[in-house]
Amino acid sequence: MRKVIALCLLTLTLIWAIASCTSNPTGRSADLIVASKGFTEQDILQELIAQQIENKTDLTIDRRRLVGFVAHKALLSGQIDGYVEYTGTAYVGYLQQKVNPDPAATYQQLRQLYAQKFDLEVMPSLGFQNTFAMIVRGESARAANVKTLSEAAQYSPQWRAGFGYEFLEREDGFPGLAKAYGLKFAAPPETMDLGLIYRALMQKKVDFIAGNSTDGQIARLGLVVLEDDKNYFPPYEAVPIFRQATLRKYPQIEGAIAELVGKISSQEMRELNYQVEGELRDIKEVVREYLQSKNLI
Amino acid sequence: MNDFFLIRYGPEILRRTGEHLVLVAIAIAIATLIGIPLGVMITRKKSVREPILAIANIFQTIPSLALFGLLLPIPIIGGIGAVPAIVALTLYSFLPIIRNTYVGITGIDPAVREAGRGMGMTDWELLSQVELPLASGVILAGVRVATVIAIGIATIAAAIGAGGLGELIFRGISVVNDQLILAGAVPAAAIALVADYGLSWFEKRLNVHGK
Repeated sequence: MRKVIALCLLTLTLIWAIASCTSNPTGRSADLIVASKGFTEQDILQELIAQQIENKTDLTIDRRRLVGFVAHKALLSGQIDGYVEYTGTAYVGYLQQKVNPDPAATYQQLRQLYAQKFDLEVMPSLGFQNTFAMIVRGESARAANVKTLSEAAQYSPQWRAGFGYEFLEREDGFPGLAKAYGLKFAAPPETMDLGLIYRALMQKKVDFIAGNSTDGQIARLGLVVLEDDKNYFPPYEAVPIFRQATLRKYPQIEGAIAELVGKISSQEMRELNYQVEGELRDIKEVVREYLQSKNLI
Repeated sequence: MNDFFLIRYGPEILRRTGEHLVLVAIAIAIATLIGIPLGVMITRKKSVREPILAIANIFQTIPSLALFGLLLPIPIIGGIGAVPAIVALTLYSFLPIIRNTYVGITGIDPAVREAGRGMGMTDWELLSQVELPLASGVILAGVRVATVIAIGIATIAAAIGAGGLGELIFRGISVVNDQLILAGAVPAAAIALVADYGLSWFEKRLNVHGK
C-alpha cells in the first residue's frame, strides 16, 4: 500500500515538474485570450495582435487556436477576448445580412450591429481584404480560355472541386456560389484541411479550389484566380474584434491595436503567409521581424 | 542538428507535453476516484450493474472528435479549452476502470471471501483488506488502459483549443510541415509507452503480492 502511495506521489511530482515548464498549463492566468480561426493567416494575425499588445502594454496574452465559427461563438460567450475576423464573414455569415459590395458601408453597419447586439467592438481594418479566391491551374484557365467565374461555369462539369470544410458549409460559401454562377461539378466537392488544398490542386487531384486571396502560393505556382464578375462575395476586410468588457477593463489595448490599423497591405499579407506556409518559418519570428520592419518594436 | 525536430521545437514540445500531461492526469484522477467506488458498488448492487456499465460503454463508443464538438455549446462543462477536454477524457476513462474494478473483485475466489466473513469481517474490512488488495492488479490494468487511451485522445483536444501535443500536429498538418507533426506525435507516443510500461511493471508487482 505504501508503495502505491509512493508511486502516485512520484508520478504527480513528475507531472507537476514538467507542467511547471509551461507558463500556463490549463487556465486563464494570462490577462486575456486572443484566438485564431485555425488557418495560417489567422495564426499570423493572432500572433501579430498578441505581440503588439504584449510589446506596448504590460499585459500577457494566451493564444488559443480554434476553428472557424467556433471563434465567433467563443467571443460571444466571453471565453476569448478577441480575434481578427473578416467583415463579410461576420456581416453575411453570422448576422445573415444581404451582401453589400461597398466595403466602407459593410464595415460601418457591422460595427453598429455588433456594438448593439453583442457589446463587441469592431476595430478598423488592418489594411487588407481576404476574399475567397476561386482558383484553377494556369493551364486549365488557358485551355478553357476563361478569366471569370461566369465564363468558367460552362467548363465546371469537367472539373473536380476541392474546398475546406467551412467553405462547403457556409451559406455565403459554396452553396450560394454554385447557385449564383450555375456551377455544376462532375462529382461532389472533395473536402480537406485548408493547408492541403494547394497540394491537391498541383497534384491534379482537384481542378477548382476555394483559396484565400492572400495566400502566398498563388503567384509562385502559376495559378489563376477567376474573377467574381457578378460580385457574389461581400467585402472581407480584416478587422480585429474585441469584447467591449475587455476594452473597458484594459483601455491600453485600443491604443496598441490602433497602431496596426491600415498598416498591412494585401501584398505584405501574402508575403507573410508565404514565409510561414512556403518556407515553413516559425510564426513568432516572422511576426517579430515584421513588427521590426514597420518600426513598431 | 539544429534542424532535428526535437531540438528545433524543443521548448514548445516541453510546454505542450506539460499541458498534455495535466489534461490526462486530472482526467484519470477523477475517473479513478469516481470509477473505482462505482465499480465496487456494482459488485454489491446487481440492479445498477447493467445501466452503469451500459452508460460507460456508450461514452466509449462516441468518436472522440464528435464528443469534443458536441461539448462546444454546452455551458459550464463545455465550451473551449481545458475544461471540456478533461470532461471528455474523464468520460472515456470510465469504462476500463469501472469494468476492471468489477471484474477484479468478482474474480476473487469465493472461498477467500467466505474465510473473511468467517473471521467476522465487516463489509468495509472485507473490501479494504481482502477484495481491493487482491483485485488491485486487475484494477490497475484498467487504469493503465484508460491512461494510454487518454493520452491518445488528448491529442485531439487541440481541436477545441485545449492545447497539448495535438496542437503541434494540427499546426503541422495545416502547413504540411513534417517536422512539426513529428514534434507532436513522437512525444505523445513516447509518453503513452512510458505510462504503459510503467504501470504494467507496477501491475506485475501487485499481482505477485496479490497471490
